[in-house]
Amino acid sequence: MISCTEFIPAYSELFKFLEEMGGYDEVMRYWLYISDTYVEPLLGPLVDQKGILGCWEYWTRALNEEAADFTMTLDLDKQELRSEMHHCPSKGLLLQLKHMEPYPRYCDHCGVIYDPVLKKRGIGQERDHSHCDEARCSSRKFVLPEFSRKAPGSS
Amino acid sequence: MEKLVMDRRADANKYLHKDFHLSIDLSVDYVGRRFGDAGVRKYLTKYATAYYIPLVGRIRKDGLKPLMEYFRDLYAEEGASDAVDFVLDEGELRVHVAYCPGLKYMMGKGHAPSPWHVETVRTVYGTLALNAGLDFEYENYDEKTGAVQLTFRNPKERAS
Repeated sequence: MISCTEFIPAYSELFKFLEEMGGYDEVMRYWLYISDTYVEPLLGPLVDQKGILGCWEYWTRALNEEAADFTMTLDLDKQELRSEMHHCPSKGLLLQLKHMEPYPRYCDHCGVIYDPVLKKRGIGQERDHSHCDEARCSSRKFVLPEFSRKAPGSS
Repeated sequence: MEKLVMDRRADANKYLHKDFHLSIDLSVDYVGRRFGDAGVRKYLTKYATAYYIPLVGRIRKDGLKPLMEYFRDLYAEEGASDAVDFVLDEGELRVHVAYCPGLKYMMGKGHAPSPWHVETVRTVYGTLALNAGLDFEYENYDEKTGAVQLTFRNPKERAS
């Protein structure tokens, strides 16, 4: 059994394996597959029903289960969700494992796997990964202007 | 102005994101579909070789006891101490797994495990054993529950 507590190193090694097999395109292909088969059925219905409030529900649950160190703020008037990841448990774990080299573009997956699911529902995201090597990042999710009137949960 | 704020420190929660069991299964399934059996074995061999370096070092130094402790702690973290028991005797560690907590979680979510899921046991522990200089046997795997009998033998301990 690979325990759920051992998944992150296995994930990082998977990205390395895929890159070895077919370059970064192969890694991207996998992330898009995961977006479609895993993220879509979990996150998609929440956003369909609740709009950006669904994002809040999805990430507050996941980040609590992952024991993340974070501050998340949902502004319902602005229809904007901001997240400050003070310490990412996944990247933090990889940096802590001195005998393993993390996949250099490990953090890219956070942008790629959620983007298609959110975009098709009118939610954009901006991410700052400039402090990934310290297991810190931030993001902003927002209702795209062309969707703002019909987004569920908007006032 | 309506705002929701959640501010969490890492120590407020236990690190146990069980959906990662689904992610593991999807990963292995993807590799199997894309690169076949050999691809799955290659990926998991690379993972196990890299991940278990410290454990392999402890086994080579102290024998099978660190391996037993690894399994004990792993299942305890999963909240599944009841799933596993051990017999450690004369250079042989027998690990009886009554069920896999990962498979139990997946089944509970209505997720049918990948046909390659077995390799997360066979290839992963086979690689760990090989790198640690142990003989390894794997018997009676039940693909529905993950029940399995694992036996690790340490030729050095058995000879002494």
